[in-house]
Amino acid sequence: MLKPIVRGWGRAASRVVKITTPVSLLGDLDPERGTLAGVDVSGKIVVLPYVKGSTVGPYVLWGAARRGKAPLAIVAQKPDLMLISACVLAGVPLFQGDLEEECINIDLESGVYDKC
Amino acid sequence: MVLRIADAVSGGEVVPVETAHISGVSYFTIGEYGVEFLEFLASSGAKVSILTTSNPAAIDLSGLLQVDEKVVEGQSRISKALRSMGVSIFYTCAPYEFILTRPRTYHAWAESNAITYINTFRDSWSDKNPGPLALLGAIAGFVPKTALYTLDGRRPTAAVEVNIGPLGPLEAGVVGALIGERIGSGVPYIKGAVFADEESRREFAAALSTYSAMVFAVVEGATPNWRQYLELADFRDKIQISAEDIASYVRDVETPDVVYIGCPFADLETVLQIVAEVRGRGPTKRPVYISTSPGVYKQIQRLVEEVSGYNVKIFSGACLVVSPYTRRFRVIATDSLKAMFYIPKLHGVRVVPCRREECLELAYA
Repeated sequence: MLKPIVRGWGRAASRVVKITTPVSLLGDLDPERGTLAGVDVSGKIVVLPYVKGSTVGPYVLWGAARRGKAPLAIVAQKPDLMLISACVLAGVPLFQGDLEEECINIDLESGVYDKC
Repeated sequence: MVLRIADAVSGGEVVPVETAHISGVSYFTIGEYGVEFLEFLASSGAKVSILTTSNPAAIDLSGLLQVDEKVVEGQSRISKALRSMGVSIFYTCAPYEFILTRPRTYHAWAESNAITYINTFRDSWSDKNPGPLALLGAIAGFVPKTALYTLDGRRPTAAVEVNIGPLGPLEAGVVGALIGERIGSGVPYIKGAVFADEESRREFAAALSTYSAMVFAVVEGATPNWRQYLELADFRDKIQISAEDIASYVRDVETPDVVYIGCPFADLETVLQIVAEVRGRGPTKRPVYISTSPGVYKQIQRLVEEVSGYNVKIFSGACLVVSPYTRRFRVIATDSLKAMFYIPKLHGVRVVPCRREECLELAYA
């Protein structure tokens, strides 16, 4: 189970995409294409260690969500006020924890999941 | 949205705030997505519910810093959106100059030097709220009750001894940067620091928060309620800062293209000192750029015109950190540790440190 930080709602099945280095939402996230550090994250569950960099980051995630290019959910090892603000602004559920790259069924409110 | 953020960071607890100061209002830093967000909020009818001021923009009030058409257009969209939400667009990074916050009142500020200034020199309470959160807090009238909005979260954790005489602006900035680099997080309790003037306090606050995540320090004898903070202290770190530490920070002086004073914005006294100096000595060889707040600028408008003939360019509402104008320079000399940190990162321009008197000498060299 993942610890919910910003709760979503409903259940979804999705692929997990893992990014192993810290990312900056400004610069690393392309809101037109839905890629993060070059990896397609649009509609997927993305796992990352933590975010770094500019306080402008929340706007970029919001921009991606407006274009339907945001991740389905973000799982971070260390969520901070910046990432939390970004996820609330963009309406992207945020969890604390870690996942392997596989397909999972997840309850976006509670963070309970199992393999597809 | 503020309540949802509070759910995640403070168990849902919020704190009502008296004022807000928002950052991320320069088109250069927030770009198209930031503008879109501000326009979206404005068009949904959002209004701030408390006195809310704004940080500097990419363009100054008198158009001294010329930037391209795209930036001008983007900046005017930002101003329009902010104005329609009721934000007082003063475009200053030193709102504490005219908002005289009282001790133990709550505020939602998002400019790190300003937060540190009111926390440290007034014991007014603000955490470092990301730009969008400060704006949402200004609309809601409250922000998440994070640690810095509690007495317990303001408990000093590191004892710092400063063994140097009165600190001028450059030295105060170096002390702030050294404390920031050596401690990183927590709350420093500083003994032995005497700030020479208002500019020094500003430079200290700016440097501490630029070189670390910290936005609050207790300065013995200066921070209101410092005795209570000393009683609460739970020191885990102990450091000393000596004259040698400062000297090692201020090294290579290279001939600059320009001299820059006013990050954070220069106060009236600083501007007048420089004006007096150049009036006595005549035009400088290299341009001296001074950014100041719109309030100070309006007071001295006649002087601004006079000293422009002496190669001294006083401007307001923007600064060389957030304006792309800066990219035309090769080397900038400044007494601001904050400018030294950000200008190379944001614009790829070299910055060398100097005491204010030395900076002026470089302008005449």
